[in-house]
Amino acid sequence: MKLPAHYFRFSPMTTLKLSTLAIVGLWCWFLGKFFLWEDRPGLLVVLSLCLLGGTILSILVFVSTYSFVANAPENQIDERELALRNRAYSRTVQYVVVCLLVGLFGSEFVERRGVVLVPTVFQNFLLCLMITTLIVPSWLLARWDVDASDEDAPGVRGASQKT
Amino acid sequence: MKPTPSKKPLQGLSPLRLPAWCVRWILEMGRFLSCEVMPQRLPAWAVQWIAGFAILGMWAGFVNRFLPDWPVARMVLKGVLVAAVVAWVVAFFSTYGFLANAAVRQIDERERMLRDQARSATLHYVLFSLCFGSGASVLADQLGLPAESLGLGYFCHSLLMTTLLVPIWILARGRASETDLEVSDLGPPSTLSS
Repeated sequence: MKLPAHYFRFSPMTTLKLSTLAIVGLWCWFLGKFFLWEDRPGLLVVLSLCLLGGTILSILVFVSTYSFVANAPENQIDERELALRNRAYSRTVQYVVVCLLVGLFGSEFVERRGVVLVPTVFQNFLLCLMITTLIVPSWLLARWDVDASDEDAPGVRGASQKT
Repeated sequence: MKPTPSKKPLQGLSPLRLPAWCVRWILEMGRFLSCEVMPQRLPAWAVQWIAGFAILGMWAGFVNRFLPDWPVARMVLKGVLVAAVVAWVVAFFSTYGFLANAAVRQIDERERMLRDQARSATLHYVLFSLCFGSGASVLADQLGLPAESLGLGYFCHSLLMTTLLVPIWILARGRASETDLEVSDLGPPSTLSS
């Protein structure tokens, strides 16, 4: 793996924590806004912070080692990293499908209860899904590395250290 | 595992006296749902075309919302949408649909690798679609168009249905082109042929 100099070399645990916080923050923002049916400025500020924090953490994850592996051209990563990445992508597709299913059934359920969903809800949902979909492969790669380091097996980080 | 026959008849419960055809039908449904019968042996090129048609048809159904009031075009697109739904079902329950969604223990290493590659390409498709959907909604806001006209709910629906089909299309396409290259046999999946 030829990691460019401007990428952050976070440890697997740091990447895992950052990406988890980003994903949780972004979904909290979406769900918070979804259930915010009354005018509550204090809560709105908290939700805005969730969005801001989630976005900043996402950017940090985007420029980390794991995001490089998750998005690098195939000739810049080795066979094993490619296999790991494909596995991570495979899981991410499952994540997207589950999110879309939950979103559709959820919207159907809510509309049957007489709540009219405004288009902004779908806009927020798409935005949240898009940003989290970009982070999930890195989150998975970091998680597998953390698990592997617990079992003393080399993960993505192990391979990068060797090179 | 064989069910252990109970020594005593169940108290208070009388066994259902179902007719033979009904029991056979239930058993067939069970086999169908447990993937024993489900994957049809359609050739790869057929699955590729059926899945491709279903993907395009699903998006055509979404585009239908934006058409002006042209009754003929709307009727044609509705027909395409219905045909796409049928094609979706056929493709999803084909051999390649099974391969794209089977449990890990039901497929071998090579099939798993191919599936991961197919899903990897699917993720790019999903991201592109999400970018397109989000970008279009933001653009519509900027242009002052009513956001309701975008039908983002329908967009999510089309995205979900096509996301489930794209790996099947990629796997079938890969297999169809493999026959030209004379690479080792992929389908039907090993677990099905055994």
